[in-house]
Amino acid sequence: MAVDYYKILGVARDAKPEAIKAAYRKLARKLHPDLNPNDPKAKERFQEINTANEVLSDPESRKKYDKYGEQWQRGEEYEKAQQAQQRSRAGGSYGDFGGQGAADYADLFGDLFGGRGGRAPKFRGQDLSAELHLDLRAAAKTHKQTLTVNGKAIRITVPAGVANGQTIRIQGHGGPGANGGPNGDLYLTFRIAPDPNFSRVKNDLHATADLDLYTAILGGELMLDTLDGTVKLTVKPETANGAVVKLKGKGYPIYKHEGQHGDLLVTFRVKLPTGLTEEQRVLFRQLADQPKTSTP
Amino acid sequence: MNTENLIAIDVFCAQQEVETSFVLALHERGLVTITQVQMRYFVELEQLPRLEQLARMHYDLDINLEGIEALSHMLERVEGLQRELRELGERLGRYEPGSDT
Repeated sequence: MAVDYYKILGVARDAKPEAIKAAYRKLARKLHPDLNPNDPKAKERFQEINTANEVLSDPESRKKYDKYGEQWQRGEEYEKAQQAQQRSRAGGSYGDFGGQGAADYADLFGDLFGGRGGRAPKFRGQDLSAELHLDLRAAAKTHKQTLTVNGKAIRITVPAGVANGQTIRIQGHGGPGANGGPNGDLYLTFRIAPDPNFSRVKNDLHATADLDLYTAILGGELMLDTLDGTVKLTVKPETANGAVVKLKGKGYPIYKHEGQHGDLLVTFRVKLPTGLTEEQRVLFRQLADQPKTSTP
Repeated sequence: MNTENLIAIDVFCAQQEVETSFVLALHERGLVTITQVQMRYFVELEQLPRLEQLARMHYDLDINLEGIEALSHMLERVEGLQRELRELGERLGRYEPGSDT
């Protein structure tokens, strides 16, 4: 489907430059990424109105757009090449591919891209957005990562503790600016895959630990995996199913607070024994016949 | 005072083609914090993205200072709500079927 820059800006085809400028300003205020944090649709629309404004606010490019439509850059190029070919034929020269030298092409492109007289307007490059997928454990460590955005490799440091959905701005790594304008920025959103053992809530981690009935009743010790290795956990006697213990400082690293961590909250899941022997059954019956103790 | 993590306002303004009075007005409204070191004004490097954002609102989008002030508060609220939504989504995910932890 053809892109209609006038429609994008909501102006008539004969709109005056002031009307185009006003329409662009109005839409930019609505759709600018600064005013629409984490809204990819607004960002996309903003890029569209930017492109439309770049073309329509420059009288030369607007004229070409009006003549050739969306493919105005190629249309101009094609027409010039045609004219050059015709000139060559009319002059009865070499009869090869138009007799057009490199200098002619330089003129052609110069005319298209900034060869005009006067002060060309500067345009800031487009902001780009990208996603970086990490797992929970990788995002818990400050590390360097190389990304390829628009064919360019960018090496960034990912600080420990970044959150799922968090977006950071990498200045100057967006699309190139035009006519000496600055490059756009790269907005990088982190996508962190869920971990099979831990779930994260803010800076705390939540985990579940299976506990056999005997340890739950009599107490004991349990080896537990954390993000930075295995720890020995003391289980209090008469630990209930669903009881939660908090391991301070064993949670997720706090973003940009080096050395600080949230807590790890472990929920005990008491597993009942199965496949009891007759002897065990007798013992449980004996227990059941005892006077009942209070249950919390 | 150590100025390692600070950028001089005059340097910032020259680079970004921004008026010093604009930065001072933002400071007066509590939107950025300025530090004075020996008769020279600085902003913390950490505040640069915010300062650039506010400058874009003013110079690219023609929003006046009152508008910037109101928008800043609204944006803070939007970002806070987005953060809360994300956290609630993550918490909800823990109770969805198939989630073991």
